[in-house]
Amino acid sequence: MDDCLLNKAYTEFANKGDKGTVPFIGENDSLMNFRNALLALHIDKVDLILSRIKNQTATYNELFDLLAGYPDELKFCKQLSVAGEEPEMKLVHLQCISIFKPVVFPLLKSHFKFTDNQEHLASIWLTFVESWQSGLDVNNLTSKHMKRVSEETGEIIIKLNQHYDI
Amino acid sequence: MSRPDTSKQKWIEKGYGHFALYGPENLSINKISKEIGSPRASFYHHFGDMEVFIEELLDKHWVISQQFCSTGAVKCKNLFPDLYLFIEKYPIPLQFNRQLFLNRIDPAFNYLFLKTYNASARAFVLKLFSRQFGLHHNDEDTFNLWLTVGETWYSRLDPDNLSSEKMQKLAQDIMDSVMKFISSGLYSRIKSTF
Repeated sequence: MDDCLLNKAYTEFANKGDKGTVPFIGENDSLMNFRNALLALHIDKVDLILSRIKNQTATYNELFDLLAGYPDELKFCKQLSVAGEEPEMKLVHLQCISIFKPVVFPLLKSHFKFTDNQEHLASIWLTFVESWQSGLDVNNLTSKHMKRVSEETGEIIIKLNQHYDI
Repeated sequence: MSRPDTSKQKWIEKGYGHFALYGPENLSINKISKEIGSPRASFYHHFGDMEVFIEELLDKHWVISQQFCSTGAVKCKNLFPDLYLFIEKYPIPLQFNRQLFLNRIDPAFNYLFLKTYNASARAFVLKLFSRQFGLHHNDEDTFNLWLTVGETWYSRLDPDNLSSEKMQKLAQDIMDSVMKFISSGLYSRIKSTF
């Protein structure tokens, strides 16, 4: 599949999930090959976003300004997070969340004053990202909206940490 | 010495089972009240509202999960069949966990699902999983593999058949797919890119 068509399929998957990509699967393509091509493209896009965050984002607020430039990628992530019965998609999603952790989690930790308890960091980070993603309105991926959802998510996590004495 | 509040305990015990079997959206004060033979008023006396009641159920689940972790670390020597024989002995907590997973759009449910999953992984399951498949990844990668297996497993789990054989077969099928994927070019690409 050429790059232009693959990018169109990426946007369709981001907006509609699997059903959006059906017209893009060629006669000689297997579903697995097509999915792998989409996931490979996603990895490239995530890598680009990660580099930009590393180079251009110094503060919590700047993070959302930068993410607002990537609505399709955010929607694609959200689609992966609900593709529960597909282990390949789930694993790519979790690996992507993991690679953002060293760069993004310090910003959140300092903003929300999260605990340094190493044992619970992995679940706090995952809960934060998954709850934040599920709270996002995909029709309003503005910096302001994403920051507001982040604030709400952070408050909930703080309360839960206090409840479980973390 | 004060006596334990048995009326409150009855509400929690029955509510825990109902949450596990029917899900949080179907928790009914009326239904539980009838089953335990306590008036609705006693629910409001003990909990005030459904939110506080659910919080108590989540606390109970966390206590059971900690017990699961400490006993499992002693009893399970291998992933197959030990883990699934052990899980089979916890049908209600297992279904409670499944409900947390299915309703993880609620951050409190997602938080507790991941917290219990993380706790059992760290206590004993990751060690068994790594040994079973000869994995030599770092802790975070291994945890992601195990969480991928677990989340897919909970998505496909049939609550009407929680026999150890069936649960193990489901896990093995998913693990086969995951192992195939990690030996694919795409996974190598993820590892080399990041």
